[in-house]
Amino acid sequence: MEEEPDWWNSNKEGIQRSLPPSTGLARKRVCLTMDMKESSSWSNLPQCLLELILERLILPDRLRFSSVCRSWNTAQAQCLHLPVSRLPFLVFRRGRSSIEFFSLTEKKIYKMPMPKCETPLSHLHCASSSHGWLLFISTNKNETGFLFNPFIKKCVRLPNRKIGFLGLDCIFFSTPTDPDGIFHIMEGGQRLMLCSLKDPSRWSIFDQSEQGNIVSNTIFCDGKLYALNDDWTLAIIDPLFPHNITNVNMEKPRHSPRIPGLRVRDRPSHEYILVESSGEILIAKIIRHGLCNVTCEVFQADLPRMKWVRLENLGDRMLFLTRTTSISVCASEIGCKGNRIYYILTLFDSYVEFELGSKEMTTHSIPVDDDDARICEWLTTGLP
Amino acid sequence: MASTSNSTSSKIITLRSSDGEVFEVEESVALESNLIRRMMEDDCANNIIPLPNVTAPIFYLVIEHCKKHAEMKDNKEKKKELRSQGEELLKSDPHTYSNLMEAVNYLDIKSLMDLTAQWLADFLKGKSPRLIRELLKIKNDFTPEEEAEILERNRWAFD
Repeated sequence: MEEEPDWWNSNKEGIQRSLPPSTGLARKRVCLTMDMKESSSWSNLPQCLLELILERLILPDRLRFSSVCRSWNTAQAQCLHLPVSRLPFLVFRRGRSSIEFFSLTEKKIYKMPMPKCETPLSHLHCASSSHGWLLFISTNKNETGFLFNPFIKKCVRLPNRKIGFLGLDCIFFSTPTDPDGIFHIMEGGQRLMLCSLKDPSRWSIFDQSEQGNIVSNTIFCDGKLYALNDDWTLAIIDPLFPHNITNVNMEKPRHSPRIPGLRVRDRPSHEYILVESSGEILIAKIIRHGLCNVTCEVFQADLPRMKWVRLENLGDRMLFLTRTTSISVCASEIGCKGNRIYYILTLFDSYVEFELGSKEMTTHSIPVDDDDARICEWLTTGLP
Repeated sequence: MASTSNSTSSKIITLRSSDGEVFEVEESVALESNLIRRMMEDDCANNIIPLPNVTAPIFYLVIEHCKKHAEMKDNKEKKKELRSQGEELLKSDPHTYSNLMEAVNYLDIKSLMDLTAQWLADFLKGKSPRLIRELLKIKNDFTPEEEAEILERNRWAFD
């Protein structure tokens, strides 16, 4: 186990904030043809070759690539369909002014400018994330908050109404399949707010307090919304008709009691996080022992047989979880190890890595040397 | 009398580069190229196959890489060797490297397209546009306004 390259453990190398030193080799030899026809060949590489290169780069590298010359810029603009690495950034804030992203692959920090807004960052709570968007809830009485996508630099204001209690139970997700982007905010499992990026000033609000007692985050899977009720039934919400909620009576796993209600959930004992993972619906049950020790159990929904089945192995998947966000990533695609769960301990500025097979837990502290830093969320770029 | 016992296993294909040099290549190596394969299937390759888009030095490089690539299967040492050669070429003679990529693309040799793209991608990782231009000798053809706009749009990725 020890000899694997461990790109999580960034402290070893420190954070690389500056560019790597020049190799020094570049000027060693000047090639013969070069001085006659500078750069022509690189600028003329066909699009298909440039795409082969681009698909091997993570987003920050792609953006730098696109800034080298015109033809590379065009190539990048034309191949926005290429998938970027799904590995999420670790979002954290430091001090009062900036939101920062830690790239796990590069072990590098990126600073993102926040949108101009009246509320100081210290009064904003980063409540959830989904497909490139971060949900900020204001802790000021008279303000609500906004959705912010730092990659495409867009903001959407929340409806002007009181949200949740401190917004702590706000769960946000966007529908990845909709080109216009539909935002869903599930407020305390009671109210669903919908908005389309096409018309970001208009929110539709649906009251759902009559329906079950939702105790998990909400996920989007195969055209439907899913959430978990306290008796292990699965609430299925039709996103087109949010009043239509079907509760599927799932047989609960053996020896599993009723799930404590939403408000009790704030006690650091158990959390139930729904995950969409390669088309399957999973529950990650996070069990907190003491303050910082975490173990995890995973159940998979067997919808045809209406039961929850315990999963002993996640195979090639890595799950990145917070209470409100769940991301499943294929490990081999990005050169990592699967069967692992990553969970942020917001209050302790660290995240744990839990290996489902060996049940071993490793704690990673936030990779910055700063007491002010606070980890908030995982965030994928949301690009296709 | 020369023995002809291995005539079937190592048929020789004759190819001509754009600058007129003639190469004799084993069929197994030549067939790594889908372009040559198609030409042979279409039976338009009875004599010498012309390659109007590839110069002799580049074609020599391609052949060398093809041979090494065939050898490297299941051989980690060879794989490493080929990789470090590719990286060395990229650093010392980026122009030739870009020609190699174009030639491999033209000849449609999938394995080498992937490899050369991977080496280049690894080389680009973490480098600023300015450094990339300097190392690969690429001309900055943006107007100052365009460059400022791009920098502003992607500022977070440059800091």
